[in-house]
Amino acid sequence: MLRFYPKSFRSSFGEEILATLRRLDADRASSGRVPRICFSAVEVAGLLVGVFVQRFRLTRSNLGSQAPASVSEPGMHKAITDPIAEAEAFVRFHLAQTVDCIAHHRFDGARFHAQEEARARQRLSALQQSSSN
Amino acid sequence: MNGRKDREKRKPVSESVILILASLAEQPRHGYALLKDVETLSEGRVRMSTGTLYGAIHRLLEDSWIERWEQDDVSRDKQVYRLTKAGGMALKAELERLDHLRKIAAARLCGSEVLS
Repeated sequence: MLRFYPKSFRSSFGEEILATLRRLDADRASSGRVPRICFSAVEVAGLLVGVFVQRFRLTRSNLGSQAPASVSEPGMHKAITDPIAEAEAFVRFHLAQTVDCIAHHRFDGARFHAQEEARARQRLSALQQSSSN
Repeated sequence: MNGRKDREKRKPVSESVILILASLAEQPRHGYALLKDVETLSEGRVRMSTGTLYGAIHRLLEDSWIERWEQDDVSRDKQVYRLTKAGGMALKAELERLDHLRKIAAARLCGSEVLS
């Protein structure tokens, strides 16, 4: 599972996560089969969510570094005149909100922002296509 | 960028993060000890998975609310974390916010007909 994490996260926390999992597993060595299966399921689910969140954060920071310096996020007071920059800002905003919602276990909100992000991406690619034509 | 970070820091933090900060407020701890202490502090109600814990630690390190505590005799897989001054202030602010919320909710509940 750890292989799916971004490399930077893995190198910072990989060994620690493995050590913690080993100790937790050792704690449950004497417990029955069902509690151990439940423990494994919870840990796998936690790692899956973690992979998803860290991947999103990485994508968000990459998008942020590619964006023009003058572009700010929606909700900030700077006016955005370039429609492509605006669409990019919307993608970043909804991506950030999705990650935040997942991190705080607000899955309805995460679903909403993920849908909005997909829409913003569609709009962005349409704008990019029309500007290149 | 700083303005954005400030706004993010003012956002309400999750219960798990409050428990992590509260645990580190007592003494520096490594991941396993944090998981156990969070469970104890919440009286068994909050059981974080390892993935969730390290995701939270990553964010708290980025926000400088916690820091790695370098110790010579500790291996890398037992990295110890401790609360920073900024983290302590954030925890205090969050507790004040929750206390305010509790007071106004209790005041409204007292005047409500629901429990009468």
